[in-house]
Amino acid sequence: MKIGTYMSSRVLKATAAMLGVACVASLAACGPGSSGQNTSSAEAVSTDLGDTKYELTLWDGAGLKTYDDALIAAFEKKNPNITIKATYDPDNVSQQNGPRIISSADAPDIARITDINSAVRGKHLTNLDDYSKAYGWNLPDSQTEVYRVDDSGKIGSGSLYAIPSGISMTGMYWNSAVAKKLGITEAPKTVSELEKDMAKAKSAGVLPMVMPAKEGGTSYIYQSLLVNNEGRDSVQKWILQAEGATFDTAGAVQAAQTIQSWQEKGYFSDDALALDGSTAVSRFAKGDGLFFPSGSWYSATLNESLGSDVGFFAYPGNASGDEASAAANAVSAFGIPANAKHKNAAAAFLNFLTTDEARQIAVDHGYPPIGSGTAPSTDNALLTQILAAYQDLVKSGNTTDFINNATAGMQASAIIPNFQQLLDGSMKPEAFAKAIQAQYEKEVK
Amino acid sequence: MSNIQVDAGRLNPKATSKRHRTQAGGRASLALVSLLFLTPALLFYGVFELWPIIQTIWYSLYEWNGIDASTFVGLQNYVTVFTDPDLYGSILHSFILILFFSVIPIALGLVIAALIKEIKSKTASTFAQVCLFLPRVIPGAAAAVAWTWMLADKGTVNQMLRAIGLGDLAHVWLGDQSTALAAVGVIGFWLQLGFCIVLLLSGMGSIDQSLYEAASLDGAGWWRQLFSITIPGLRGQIGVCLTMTIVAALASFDVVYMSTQGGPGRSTMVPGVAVYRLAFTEQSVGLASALAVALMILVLLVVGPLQRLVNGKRG
Repeated sequence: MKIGTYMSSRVLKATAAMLGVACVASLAACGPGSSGQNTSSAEAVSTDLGDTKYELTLWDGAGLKTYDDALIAAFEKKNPNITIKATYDPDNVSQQNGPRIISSADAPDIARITDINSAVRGKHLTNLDDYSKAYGWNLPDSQTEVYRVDDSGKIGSGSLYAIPSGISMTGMYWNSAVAKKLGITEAPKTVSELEKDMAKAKSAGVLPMVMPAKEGGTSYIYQSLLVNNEGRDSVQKWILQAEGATFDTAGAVQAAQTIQSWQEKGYFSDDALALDGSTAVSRFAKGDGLFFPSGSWYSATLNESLGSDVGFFAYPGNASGDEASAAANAVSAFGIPANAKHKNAAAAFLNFLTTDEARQIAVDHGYPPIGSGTAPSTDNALLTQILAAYQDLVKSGNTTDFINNATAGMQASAIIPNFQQLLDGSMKPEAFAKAIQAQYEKEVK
Repeated sequence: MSNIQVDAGRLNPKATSKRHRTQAGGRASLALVSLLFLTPALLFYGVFELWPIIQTIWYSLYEWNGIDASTFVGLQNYVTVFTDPDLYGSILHSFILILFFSVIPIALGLVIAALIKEIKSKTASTFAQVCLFLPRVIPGAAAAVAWTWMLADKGTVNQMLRAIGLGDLAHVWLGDQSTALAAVGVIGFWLQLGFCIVLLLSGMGSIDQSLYEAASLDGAGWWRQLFSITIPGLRGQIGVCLTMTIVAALASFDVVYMSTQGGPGRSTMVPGVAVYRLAFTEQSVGLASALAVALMILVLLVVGPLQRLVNGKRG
């Protein structure tokens, strides 16, 4: 036993000394993560790639694989000297991995930008202004606004850092067969018409609105009410973290009151708080429920299951004549990391995204295309309605980014829990607006 | 210990050739050799256990997004952990989970193990053990998904309640702030119960049977025997059960993440999920590290004295 004790005390001492040295060494050195380096070679901006062979890498979320692969195939056909190798991360972790991937020394040449704020602030992205000028990109402001950053690091205007591959937009699905039985023949054009239709459904024993609140699905319809009350610009300013922007407004409280009153009137199912997005869409696809506030991403699923019984309309304004609204942003916003090796070739791919061919591919995969021209054709009847709604919204400019994206932690730490508390009545609308703003202030400094 | 000395000497040719070494010198070279043997394991332990812990403590003193430059903030992150109701609330939730993960499974496990021991048929007793141990084999994440369905509005639990005429009690168990934490606790209970039963059963096998005979001759009933013979005889096993299940409760992640993600509201948020969210979603690596360190210290504070209590009395 003697040796055992002797040994263990020695080992302990040695370990303690080792740890001590390590601690001091690391504390004496500068803080973690300060050794930011930029390994890229300076490459003069050019749209002429000649015959040089390029092998590019692209990174995106796994859910977009078929879409991206189609874009890449079409691009490679046009540019035989460029090949693109794509890697995909599962969608539920791409948000977390994104910042690390674009900042790594061997960053991909083309990457989904998951958090424009930290990406630009950390100087991890290539400024695309020169490419934009050289290629003559001409996208509507509403589609690039959130990918523009000025010299002071403020989003909303200034230099361009990413190009969307297609558009994701929110809106309302409705089951027109269920509606017909209730005597409703037209999609509601104002919020009060929507409320009247829901009251009709409720009294007929039909679920008025499928509401997946487990994962924050309440925010889409809420955001439209917020835009109706507060105006598009003030909501977008808040999302873009403009100076002095606040969520704690009369319009936000009022929108929260409206949502809470719908819950009190029984317009949502009892299990709304435990209902996730995929269960919700399968319920609506089976014919349960009159309205389903969601987004363009379900068009293929719902077109297939409900056919001509399903329709889509943009969230209506408060009064007749008011503009409809939607939250819309990129399916994937592609940027060129600062550490990318072949920036000119990567820019050629971004340029390809703006062409009619790429726009057709977007529609073929169920996404509204970027740009403002006539939408390409599709045999998905539901998508045709979505494209028409989006074209009107591009014209009116009444779209914002998603409030869920205002900060990195907004969705998980504020939108999901606070909407749940609003719905089950444990939080007052005033407290709700304050709680969202509190999370915002925690992260925006 | 002497045979180790011999072995070490044999393995070290120098030591055998110089038999006239002073005792201190021999001891030193023995220590050196022993250390050499320990090095691979120590290295692994150091690199994969100690170093990450040191790093976490180091990170917790900074405000850092995980990538770019960091700012030294001293103990500010710790102040936030203990003043932000969302963060210390998550720690409180994990203490409530101890009831479900630890106290109830062990209490019930004792009774069930004692009952299984009474089963005369070998087959029946094995069957009962396998059935009760099965949940332990299922990964927590998978169990959480299955239970999410069972606890849903039209899930098995509510169907059974409605079938026996207790439809009024039916509930969206995971979708209500007042029941969600307990519902998550039930999943944990289900996962931990089998482990406790098997461990306690093995302990019961080593209790001297004559004690029971003597007690029953003295007129002690089943419960009396459980409290006076079985439980004192199982001190060690109960200690292990308590340690394992309490750590599982305080450091829970998979069950909560897969079933509720901390909701509804913040009613089931636990430190494990909060750390993950802070570090990877909100990119607040410093604050996440501080919460992780606070959790580690709490676990040690709870489990440490427990070890003393259990081992001390035995020794």
